[in-house]
Amino acid sequence: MPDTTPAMRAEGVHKSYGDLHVLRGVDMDVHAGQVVCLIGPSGSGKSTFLRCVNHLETVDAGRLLVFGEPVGYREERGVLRELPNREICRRRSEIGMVFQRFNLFSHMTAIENLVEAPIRVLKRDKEQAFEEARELLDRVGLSGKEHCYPSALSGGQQQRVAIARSLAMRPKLMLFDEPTSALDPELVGEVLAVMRDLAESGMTMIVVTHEIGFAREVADVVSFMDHGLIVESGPGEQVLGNPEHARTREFISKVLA
Amino acid sequence: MTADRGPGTGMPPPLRVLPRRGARRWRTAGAVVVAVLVAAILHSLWVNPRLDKQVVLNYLFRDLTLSGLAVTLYLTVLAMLFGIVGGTLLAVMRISKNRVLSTCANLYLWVFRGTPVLIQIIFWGYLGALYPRFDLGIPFTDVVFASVSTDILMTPMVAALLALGLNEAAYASEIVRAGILGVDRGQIEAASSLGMNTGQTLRRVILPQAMRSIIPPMGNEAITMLKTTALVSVIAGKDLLTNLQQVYSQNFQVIPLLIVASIWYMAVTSVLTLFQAFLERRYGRGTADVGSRGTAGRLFGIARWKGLKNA
Repeated sequence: MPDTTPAMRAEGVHKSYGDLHVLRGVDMDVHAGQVVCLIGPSGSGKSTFLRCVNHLETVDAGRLLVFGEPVGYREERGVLRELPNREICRRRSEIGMVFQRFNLFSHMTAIENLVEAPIRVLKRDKEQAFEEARELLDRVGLSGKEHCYPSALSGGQQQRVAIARSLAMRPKLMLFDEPTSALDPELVGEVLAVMRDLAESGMTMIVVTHEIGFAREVADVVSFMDHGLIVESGPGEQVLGNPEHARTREFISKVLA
Repeated sequence: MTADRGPGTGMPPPLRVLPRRGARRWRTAGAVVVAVLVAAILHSLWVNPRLDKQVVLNYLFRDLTLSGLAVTLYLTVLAMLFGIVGGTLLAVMRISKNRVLSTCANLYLWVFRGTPVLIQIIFWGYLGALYPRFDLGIPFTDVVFASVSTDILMTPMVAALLALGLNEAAYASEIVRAGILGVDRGQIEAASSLGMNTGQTLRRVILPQAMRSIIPPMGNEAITMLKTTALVSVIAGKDLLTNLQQVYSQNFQVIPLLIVASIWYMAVTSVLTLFQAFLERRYGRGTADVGSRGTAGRLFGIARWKGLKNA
């Protein structure tokens, strides 16, 4: 890996909800173009960590840098000051996020979902935004569905629209929060295929997933998380095939069983 | 669907589906009973010599009636507009993280929902008794740039509008707030993750979806407002009911004149109901079944025959 600013760097990230210590010092580096899969049992803090990366959740302690800049804060003489909303919005617009439950705007058609933020947030030309949206829908295999409302699409199709909606912002980093967990088993494949294409095109991705097969095949780095800590991190074959830690072995044997 | 079934298609012929045994018979019997009862009541009114139909007809389109109707409509429309705009503002203030804003909104609701609207109308109408003049100047000094008598500003119409509008805003705010809270949190997160700011999220994502649950109770509010406007009689407002009450206090034709009023109230309510149906369809985009009922269904609450069969 050439010596450049990592796309995402976490240093000792802590997060609590009241007495519940969800993240207990997470360290992680993601370099540009890498695909990192975050696996681990539910409640281990994977999703919370992902939501901290684009400031949907605030961090209690530690540092979280995206392309070298702290997320949601500015460093001023040794303290972190929360950024004005305008700045937070600008930084978020560079980070795409795909949710477990798709979260498409239900009162807008597929194409309206795609062009909304580019036109309103990035002030892109309307016609150009629609043109680009059509191309993106085509890329995720949904040309012809431009004018469908989300309720008329299958789960797999909705998730593919959601991925295209994030891509329409031309993000530098994509976060996936269990993108296939709410899907019927037979629809998982079509979403993973889109994500695989995206990874091959060089997109930097952090994927929280239970799809061990996908992680093994696509991820440059697989990180196993448990009780708010990264237990083990490394190439897929190693972490998934020959894990060092007993806790990782136990988890993987259960998931693959 | 049925075209690709039947002989020669390899598909079995479609089954005929009959309604539940006796269902149609009971429905027909019920309809007949209701029709007979309604006819009997209408007939008894029609032939009743004590109900002077001529008086009803005479007053239905009188200037006095129509000008009263105009006042009623004017107050209803403007007070509702005022209430919806103010109510939306109050709702957003109430769910705001800013404590000053939410406390102000709570205080407003406490005052305007805590006192009867009748008292509020009288209060605004007789504001001059409390504050005879309005001064524009610097508070706690004697510097005054402009001063005007309260009675010039506070005409009965202004007072009525202010009273009804401010009161409505308090009630409307709870309807809007319920609508906003009903929108899935995931929608807000998706909008945030796309870099949309609070205003954009509210205008483009939350409110359009909240409208679906806001419209039915807001339709109720509008229809209630139509009749609440009659309370402005206490400050010499000249609305529909007040004008007709003045007539019957002189000619004692109480029932015919109240029927005149009822005919107009029902006519306006019908228009409002249709407008509500239009709005529901408009904001129901992206959801399945919204308006399977026709015009008559909207007005009288009966489903279209086709709708019933499919149900």
